[in-house]
Amino acid sequence: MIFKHRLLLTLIAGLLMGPVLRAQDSARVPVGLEEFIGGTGESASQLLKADLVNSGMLSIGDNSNPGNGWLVRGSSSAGRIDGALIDKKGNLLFNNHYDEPDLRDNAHAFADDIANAITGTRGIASTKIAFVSHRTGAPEIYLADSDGGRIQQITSTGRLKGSPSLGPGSILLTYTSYASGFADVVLKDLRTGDERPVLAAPGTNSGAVFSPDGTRLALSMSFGGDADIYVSTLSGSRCQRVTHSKSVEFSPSWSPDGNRLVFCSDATGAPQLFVAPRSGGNPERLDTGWRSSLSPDWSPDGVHIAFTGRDKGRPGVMIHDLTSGKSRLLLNNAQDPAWAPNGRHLVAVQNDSLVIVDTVNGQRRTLVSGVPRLSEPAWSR
Amino acid sequence: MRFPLMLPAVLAATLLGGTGCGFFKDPSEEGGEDSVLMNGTPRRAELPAYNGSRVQRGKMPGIEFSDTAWEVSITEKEKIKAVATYLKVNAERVILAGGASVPNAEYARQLGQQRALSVKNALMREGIPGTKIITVSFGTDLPGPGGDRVEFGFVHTGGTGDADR
Repeated sequence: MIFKHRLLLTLIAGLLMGPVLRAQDSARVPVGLEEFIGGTGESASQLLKADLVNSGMLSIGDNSNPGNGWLVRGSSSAGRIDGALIDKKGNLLFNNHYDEPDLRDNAHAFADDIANAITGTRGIASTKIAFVSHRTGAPEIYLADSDGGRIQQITSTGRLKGSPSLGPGSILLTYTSYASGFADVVLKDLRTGDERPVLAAPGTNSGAVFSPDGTRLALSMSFGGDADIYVSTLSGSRCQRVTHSKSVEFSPSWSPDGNRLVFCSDATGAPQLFVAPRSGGNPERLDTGWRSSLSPDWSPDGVHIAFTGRDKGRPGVMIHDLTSGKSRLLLNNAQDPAWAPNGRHLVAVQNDSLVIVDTVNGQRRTLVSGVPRLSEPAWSR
Repeated sequence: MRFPLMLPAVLAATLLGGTGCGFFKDPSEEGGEDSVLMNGTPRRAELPAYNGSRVQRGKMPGIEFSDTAWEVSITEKEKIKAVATYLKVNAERVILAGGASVPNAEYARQLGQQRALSVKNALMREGIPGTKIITVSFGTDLPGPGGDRVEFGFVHTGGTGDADR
C-alpha cells in the first residue's frame, strides 16, 4: 500500500507553493531528475522521465544547478520507490514511499504527484485506456497504461464486442457483448474478473458510459422501438429514458457535473450532436459545421466536446468550444476521440494506430500501432 | 458475484426515484419481441441466436439499404412478401440480422438495429405476428456478405437455435 498520507502531503505541498502552471498553458516547466540509486533505479528513472514528458506540462531539465528549477531525487529497490521533490529554493516539498508490487504503478504514482505538486493539475500517468482490437481475429477489449505499457487483453470469448468504458479508478469496465447472441451491456470488475450482463433488453443495448461519479450508465437502447438514450443504475435494475424520438440516438457522453448528456441523433438526416438534460427534456442541437458529427466526448473541464467530423472525405477529430460555438480540426484522418481526465490530452484512432494528442501544444505520440482494427478507445476518469 | 460499487448503485437507484422505468412499455405486450420485466427494466427472454447451429441462414436474399437509410425501399417489397409467404408455412420464427457499413461502430450497431426494426414492421404489415420476429444488429460485423442489409435466419420447429459456444 502506498504511504497513506502521501496524497495529503502532496496536496498540502502544492497548496503551500501554489500552482505555477495551468493545464492549458503550453510552456513546459523544466524538472531536474537525478539518477535513481538501487537495483530498479534505472528502470524507475526511465519510466519517470517518460511520464513527466508525457504530462505535456513538464520537461526534463538540467539537474546540475538546482537553482534553475525543480529537482526530483529518489531510489528504487525491488520495484518500490522512495521519491522526493525539491523546489527551486532547495526546500523539500514531499518525500513519499511508493510500495505497490509493480514498479510501473509506483513510477506512475510518483510522476502524478510531481505533476500535481508543480502544476496543480492531476497527472495522467496512472490512468488507463481501454480499446477494441481484432488482434486475435475477433474483436476483444484491451487495456493499456496511458504510456502504452502493460497492454492486457481483458476479454477472450471470440464473440463480437465493443464500446468499452472505464469507471473511476479503472476498477469497473463496461462494454457491449454479444455473448448471448445479442448486444448486451456487461459490467466487469477488473480486480476480480467477475462480470455479468446488466442491460439485456430486447433489441440492441450498447454504448454505455459511466457517469462522472461512477454510479450510473448512459447508453442507447432500442427495446422501445427506435434507439433512444437512457440512464441506468449500474445494476441495470432501474433506468430512465432521456430521449423520445422517432430517430436513432446513440453515443452518449456525460457533462462533468453529470447533469447533461451530449449524444448523436440522425433526426435531421446525417448524425449530428445534441445536448439534453440527464433527466430528459428538449435536446438542443450543437452546430458543428460538419455534415456528420459522431462519437462525442465531453471534456472533464466542461468547456469542449471532442467528436469525429465527417464530410464526404476522410474523418477528422474536431474540438467544439462550447463558449464560442466554434469547432476546430485537431487531427486529420482520425476518429473516436476520448479525453484524458486532465482535459488536455485526447486519445483517438488515426491511420490504424491509437495516438495521444496534447490539445495545447499539438504534440502527438503513438500509444498502440501494428494491431489490426483498433477502435473505440476510452480513457479512465 | 460481488461488485464493489453496489452501494453507490443502490444509492443511484434511490436517486433516480421510484418511477424508474415505469413508463416503459413491455414490447411483448404489443406483439413485439419476447421479454420479461425485471425490476422495471425489460430483459430479453431466452431467444435463439442468429449464429446458432439450428438457424437456417442465407435461405432468402437479404434486404438492401443505401448509405444511412433505414426505411425499406419500394424495390425490396417483393423480397419482404416472399419471406412472409415462406414464414407462414415453413418456419417457426425468423431472426432479422441488421448490418451497416458506416465507419463508426456505435452508429453501425444502432443503424443495423433500426433497419432490422423496419423489416420487422414490413413483415408485420404482411401479416406476420411480431412474436415470430426477433431482431438483432451486428453493426459493421454482420455475418456473411456484411454490408448495408438485413439478413434472414429461419428457426424451424423443434430447433432451439442456441448460439454455438
